[in-house]
Amino acid sequence: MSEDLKIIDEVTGSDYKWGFVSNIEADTAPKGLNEDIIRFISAKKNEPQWMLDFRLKAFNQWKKMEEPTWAHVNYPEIDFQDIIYYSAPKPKKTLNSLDELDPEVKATFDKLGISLEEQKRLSGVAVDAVIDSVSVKTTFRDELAKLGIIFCSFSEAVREHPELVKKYMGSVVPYTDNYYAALNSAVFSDGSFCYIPKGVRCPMELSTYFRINSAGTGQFERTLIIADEGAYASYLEGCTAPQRDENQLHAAVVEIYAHKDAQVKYSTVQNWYPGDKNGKGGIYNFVTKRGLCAGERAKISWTQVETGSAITWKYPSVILKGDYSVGEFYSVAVTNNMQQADTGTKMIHIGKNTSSTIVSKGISGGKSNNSYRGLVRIGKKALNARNFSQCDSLLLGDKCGAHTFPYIECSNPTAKVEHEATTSKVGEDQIFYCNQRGISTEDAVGLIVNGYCREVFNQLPMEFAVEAQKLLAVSLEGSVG
Amino acid sequence: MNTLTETISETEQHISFGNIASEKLTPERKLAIDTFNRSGFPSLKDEEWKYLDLSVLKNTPFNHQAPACTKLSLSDIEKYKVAGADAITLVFINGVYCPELSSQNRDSGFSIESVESELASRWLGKLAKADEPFIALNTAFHHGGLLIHINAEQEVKQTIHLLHFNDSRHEAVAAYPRNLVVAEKNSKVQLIATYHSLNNFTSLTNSVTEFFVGENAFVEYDVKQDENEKALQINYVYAQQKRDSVFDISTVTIGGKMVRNNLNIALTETGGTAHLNGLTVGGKNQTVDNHTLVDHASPHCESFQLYKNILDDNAHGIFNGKIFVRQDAQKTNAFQSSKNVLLSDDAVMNAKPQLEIYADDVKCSHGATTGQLDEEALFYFRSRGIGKKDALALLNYAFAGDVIEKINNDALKADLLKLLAQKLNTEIEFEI
Repeated sequence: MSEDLKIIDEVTGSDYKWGFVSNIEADTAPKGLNEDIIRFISAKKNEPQWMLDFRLKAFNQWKKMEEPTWAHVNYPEIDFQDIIYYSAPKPKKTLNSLDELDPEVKATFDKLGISLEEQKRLSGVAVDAVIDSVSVKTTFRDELAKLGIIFCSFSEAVREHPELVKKYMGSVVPYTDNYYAALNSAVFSDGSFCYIPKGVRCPMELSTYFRINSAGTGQFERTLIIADEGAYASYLEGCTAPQRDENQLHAAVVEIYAHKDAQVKYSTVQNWYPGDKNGKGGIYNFVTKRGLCAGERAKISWTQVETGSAITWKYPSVILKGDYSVGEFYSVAVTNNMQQADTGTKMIHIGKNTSSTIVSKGISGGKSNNSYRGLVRIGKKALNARNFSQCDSLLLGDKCGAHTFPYIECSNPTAKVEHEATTSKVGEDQIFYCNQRGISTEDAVGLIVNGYCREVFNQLPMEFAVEAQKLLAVSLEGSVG
Repeated sequence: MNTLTETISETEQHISFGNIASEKLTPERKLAIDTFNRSGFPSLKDEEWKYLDLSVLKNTPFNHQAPACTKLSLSDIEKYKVAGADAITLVFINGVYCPELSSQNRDSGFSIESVESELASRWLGKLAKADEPFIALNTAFHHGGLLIHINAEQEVKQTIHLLHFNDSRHEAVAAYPRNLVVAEKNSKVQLIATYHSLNNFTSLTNSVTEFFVGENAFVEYDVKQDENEKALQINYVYAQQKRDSVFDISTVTIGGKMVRNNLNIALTETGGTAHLNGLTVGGKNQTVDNHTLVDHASPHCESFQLYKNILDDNAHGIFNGKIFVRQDAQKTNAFQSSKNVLLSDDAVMNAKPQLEIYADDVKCSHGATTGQLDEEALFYFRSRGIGKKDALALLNYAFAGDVIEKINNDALKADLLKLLAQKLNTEIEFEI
């Protein structure tokens, strides 16, 4: 048993491996939030009037809203006037090749192990690298453009494809949706925009690398993905952030709009700074992610591996409006030390014969709290809707908590809704079995936890699955060989 | 936003002690009404009251201090005695114990006493705290309730039947039954509570029952709620279990316009076991809301929850169950299952099974399903010449049987099956 404790101690005691600060000159706005700041952001980005109007409307809405308190998390009150809402790396001419990239930025990426060149050459992934709110470089754009795929930064989309942005922005997550979505709509700095035209299957994984960089900067990303009829796209989002002592707020919005027969797969690996062992510092991750299956047979799939952030508050959802549409949610959430996670999904069944699957695996260690909170709503007209949910929690210590709060609302008798949840620790008999066969306890814990998450990792694209396993290995440091 | 303040002013208008002289009131009662008038009724925005619409309750001007109506005779209540011939019946009208209607021959293993007696004050309100609005109301207005005290080392052989009536024939009555059951060390008892209403007006039964289950004691409590379609019921049951004790509760809800059950079980010492079973057979415009909280505060305890809903017409079923495992409660086994059948297009089921766990060496699980009865099973019956209505009834009976089976009283079981057949509109005579 003491061996076990030692391992768990090592597991939960490991430091954040990816913390570093790169010194890039940032062009920052003064702290605080008011109409002037919003005008400043909008002006900085050379935005048209309609965009500014949207921001101001959202800001007025936000002022009327109250900060939500229902999540199972505790944190000191956020002073929204003490946050810098805009920070961009100083513009340095348009880049013609990767060589022109700020060497520091490049080094940052190298440290993270995602050398742009290497990715460009070897894996064929187009990376829209976002450092502190402004897209620095988009690769592979030409190749995508040949197929009619638009993949660019959000601000570029506002300038070059205003008709698309106007039509779809806020159609899935309206600015009135919730407190943080309203905040994001008012102050969002940049993000990614993606449009896949009719019948096009995107030949490569689309990917954005998020980094939070300048101290005290809120990161307000906004991503919009539109898949037109019969289109397919797989989108990757991955995050690491440097070590900081001050809590940083991240309130992103991701919207996915899937037309008839379209499929979108959205995968996330999130490894922001979780704060130190005593809960000091760390990122507040309050994200609104939602997809709309607007047409028949549309499919949206969320896969997430959440290992970072001091507080995670995130519910990637799918609105199943089209008949026969499909929603999926696969999640691994690891919390350690003083981390708190309240995450899950919402599946809103509106159309006939819609189906959804939820697989959520929570792992808690240290003094962390890990909650699954999910909603499955079967509307009155959702004939033959089908849902299956499974939420498992694994506890790695006796001071952590694992919670499950599912909401199941069923208004149609033909629907079938199933929900299962279990909570347990790594079985002593399982470890004993491994020990017997010459596998050390350390390796056994890693093995069991990896096996436990396999169902979700299998959903990740190849490139990400590797990274996710690495991240899990780091989180479970000492137990994975 | 304004509704909350309106509600408060409304309650201040409606809910007060009227013309009772202030010096007659205990400080607890005064404090409780103040607490209530500060908080007002819960709204849909309260997480614990989500999905349950209390507007009828809020808008009915109830008489909170109705006297016990003794216009019932022994023959009137005969048909309500469902706990078997040798059961001890204790009759409560509007929450007030009526000795002249109750059984006189009593088992020596237990004694009864007023809940307002000095003896009862050792336990009264120790579990049901007045910070909940409805408990506050009950604390303020209850009178005539009983303390049922089971002596140590005693097995009460006869079933104790608490027969509750709400008499709202002449005015809208809010009845506040308040009872206390104390089962001392090594004792054993079975209690049955049935709730009925006599209505011309809307009635409210706001019942609070506290159980103190001593070391190695065994208490079974079966509840049948069969009020009519003008009746509202808010029912709180609290139980505190000592070492190696067993507390089993089965709640069967058949009647009532709106029923809300709150079960709070605290396993305070090691080795305790709790079974919570619930069956709702809802139709018309019924709303039935079952809330459970099992608090595992000690190691080596077990709890099992099984809740089933059969919902027809416009019925609305709600289940909100929570397993709470504290940090010290290692080696806990806790299970919870919510199974629901919707029979009509307009029936709605909202389930919220929750786990909140702070100990690592535990086995906890919950499951929830909502759907309709198996088409193939239905086909099987029909291919053997059994009509659709009867086939459905049989399947529902099998579904409901799981819960009824848990009740250890044959007379009550038979009565429930008869009610079930009635409610499912079938001639088939069910038996277990």
